[in-house]
Amino acid sequence: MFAGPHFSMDLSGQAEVIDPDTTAYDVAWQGVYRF
Amino acid sequence: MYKLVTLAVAAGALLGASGWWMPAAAQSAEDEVAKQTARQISDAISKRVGEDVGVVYTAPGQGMVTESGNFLNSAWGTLTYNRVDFDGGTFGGSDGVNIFLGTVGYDHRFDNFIPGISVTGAHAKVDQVSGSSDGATVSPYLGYIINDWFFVNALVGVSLANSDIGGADSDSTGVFTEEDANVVWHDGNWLATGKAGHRYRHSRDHEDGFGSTDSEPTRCWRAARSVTGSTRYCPMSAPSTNTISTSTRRTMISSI
Repeated sequence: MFAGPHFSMDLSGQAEVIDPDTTAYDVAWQGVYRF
Repeated sequence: MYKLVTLAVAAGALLGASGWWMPAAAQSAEDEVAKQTARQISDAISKRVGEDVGVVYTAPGQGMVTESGNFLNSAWGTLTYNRVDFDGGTFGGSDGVNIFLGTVGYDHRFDNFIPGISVTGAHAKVDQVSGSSDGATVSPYLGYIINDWFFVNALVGVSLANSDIGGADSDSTGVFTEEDANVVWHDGNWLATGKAGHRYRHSRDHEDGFGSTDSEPTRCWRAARSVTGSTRYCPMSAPSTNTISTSTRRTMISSI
């Protein structure tokens, strides 16, 4: 996908086991505009 | 009569316990939010700085490449949804916390140095407990790219937060620092990233009716890794801590 001549973006997700009783999930989107 | 006295004592004990639980749970929630916020800000900054490591912008099918050094200024933003689940009622009987983060940042590249600053807003809600927590964090950062596969970065975060969780109203100020060493390796359509670092975090909470408390300063060493497949050559960075599964999809643009 081309969003423009200076723009990039990133979509990521992850799951993390913090300890046996605690689990974290996250979804992150990042966009960068360079000039 | 004995039954009435027993009930009264039990009710008093329950009220006393709940009065103690509320601020304790609120403080735990705030602490968890602060911890996750620091981690997410750190990951967003690592990801941002990592983009300038050995990156060549490629137009798919055209094979045109341009060094990323042509663009010295970067304005960036990150939106994150974070869910923390607690099993077995380990968090005051709550199932978990939902945290929403929005970060905007700016940096400028001076040769191998990338100094920048970011501002993050955070909103959090705890399951089965009324109220929420809101906070803001300012994080100056500095990245230094050593070569095409290795860079280091450091950041400082200063935060202000207010929470009204379970009827316990509190304000907090916090600070954290982090220093990371990052490795980026790519081969064909595959990319592997890894990072190791150290984080220090400290906060002071002021709970209405309970005074101020300083959190125990926490220090931790982190190690993270990520392996990602890509549909085309596209160096990227997606560091994470203790990650058991990661999927990353990225679109990059061409520079014609």
